[in-house]
Amino acid sequence: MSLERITLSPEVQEVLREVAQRHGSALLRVERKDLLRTVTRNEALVHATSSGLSVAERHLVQVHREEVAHALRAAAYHRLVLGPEPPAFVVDGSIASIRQQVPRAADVRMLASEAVRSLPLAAVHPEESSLLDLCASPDSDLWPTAGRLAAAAHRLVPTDATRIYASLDLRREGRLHSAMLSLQTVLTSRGSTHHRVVAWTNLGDILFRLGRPRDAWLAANHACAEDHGWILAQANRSIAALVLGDASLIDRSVREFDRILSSRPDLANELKAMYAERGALLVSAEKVALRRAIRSMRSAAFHAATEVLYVLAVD
Amino acid sequence: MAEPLPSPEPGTPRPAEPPWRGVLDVGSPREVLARLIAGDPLELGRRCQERTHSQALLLDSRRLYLRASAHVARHAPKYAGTPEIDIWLAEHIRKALKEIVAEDAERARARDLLDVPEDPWILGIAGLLGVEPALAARGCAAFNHASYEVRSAFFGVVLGAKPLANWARENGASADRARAHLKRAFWLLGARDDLDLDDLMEGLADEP
Repeated sequence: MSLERITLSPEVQEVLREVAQRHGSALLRVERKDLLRTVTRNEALVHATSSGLSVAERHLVQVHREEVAHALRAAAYHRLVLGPEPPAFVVDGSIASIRQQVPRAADVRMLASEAVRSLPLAAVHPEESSLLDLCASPDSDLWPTAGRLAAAAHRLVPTDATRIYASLDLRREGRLHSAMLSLQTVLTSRGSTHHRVVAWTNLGDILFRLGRPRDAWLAANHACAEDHGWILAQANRSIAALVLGDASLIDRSVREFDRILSSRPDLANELKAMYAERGALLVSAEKVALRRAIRSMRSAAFHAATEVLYVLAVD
Repeated sequence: MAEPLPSPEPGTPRPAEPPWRGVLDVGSPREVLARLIAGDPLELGRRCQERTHSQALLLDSRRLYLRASAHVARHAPKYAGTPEIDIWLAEHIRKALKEIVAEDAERARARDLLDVPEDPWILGIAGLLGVEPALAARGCAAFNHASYEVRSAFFGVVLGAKPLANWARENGASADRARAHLKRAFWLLGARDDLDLDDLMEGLADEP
């Protein structure tokens, strides 16, 4: 086995020092040591084997819990996107071309049935079992709400996905401040980029609903910064800028939105279809503001974007 | 009466038994699990290591190995040779990896007290960056949720000792972008304290 050391080159050390100097960083707070490549993962595996079956069995229980939580999450997601309640204003899967695959009712039934069959009863609360039983029933209209399903999944295995689903359900019920709190938990932690983008996007939407278009713009701007190509955030940022009537924000936001849509006519069409339903959610004053701002834009330059956004502004 | 089937020619070698026979197809999940961790007959350890490295993830291989073994044991009664064992095992390792990365992030988020990692690999990373070992676990959880480009830059430039410019060229990124990826990786591994939402809304986040 080689005794080669992993050392940091001067250019890497420079970057490390630069980041370490930033407020809140914990880098370079203890003496730095080079890393020996002999520290291979084989040593860790020997340790794993010697740690015994009881440790491994704890993982076996966790696997069961994850299976149950997975079935509940799938049911919650299905309810949010395809359930009988009107879909949320901005949901993770609002647009077909960027949505996570939405499980069909039959898929959810199968997942729920399998989870029920495999349940080690001692590991799961009875409520989760009864929710799974409901999801295994043929009539999907009888399934519990997305909020209940998400909460049950979250009790078993807390995730950002369940926080976001719960938030969307709260938003659907009009409990906007509670919905914001769930998203805040996602944002003040260091979760995955995808979940942060979705959380920023949905937070922007709620802030817009609360009559705070400037904060809505900021939230959408954060989402765009995290994932430039996330079209829902680009759309929301443009809408907020137009309602605000701020010329510089409009130029900055709509220009980028237009650039993406110009290269993706499929997305433009999907957004238009979605906004044809969503337009009814805007109040009259917002529609007037949108129409005015769109007319004052250099619409010839931002043709793709204005065509999509105008759908929202129509009475 | 049916014709008797021809028996194999004397001396024809019998096809080898697939390696999972006798490991996965006998006994309860607990018994399968015991066999899997007793001698790693299906080389789950090696497979877990390879997966971790190809995904540029910093995590305790011990936990991944145990979790993947648990997944395999749990589903062993359903396995009858299809899909091929390599593909079937890879899928369970993928699931285990996803769960562990999510669990670590969740624990860090909930401000759970993180154990000092026992994996010498993670301890080595902590030493390399001058981070307290207990904080390294939190940092690794955040790192593992970063984009693949960020993780890959750290693996290539820091662990692979590639000059930044070379890594950038090989990955189709500008030198500035590569540097930004590396800064992001260091930032996440540095276990920064959480920000409150007002700071974020004001755009005061000073992440690189």
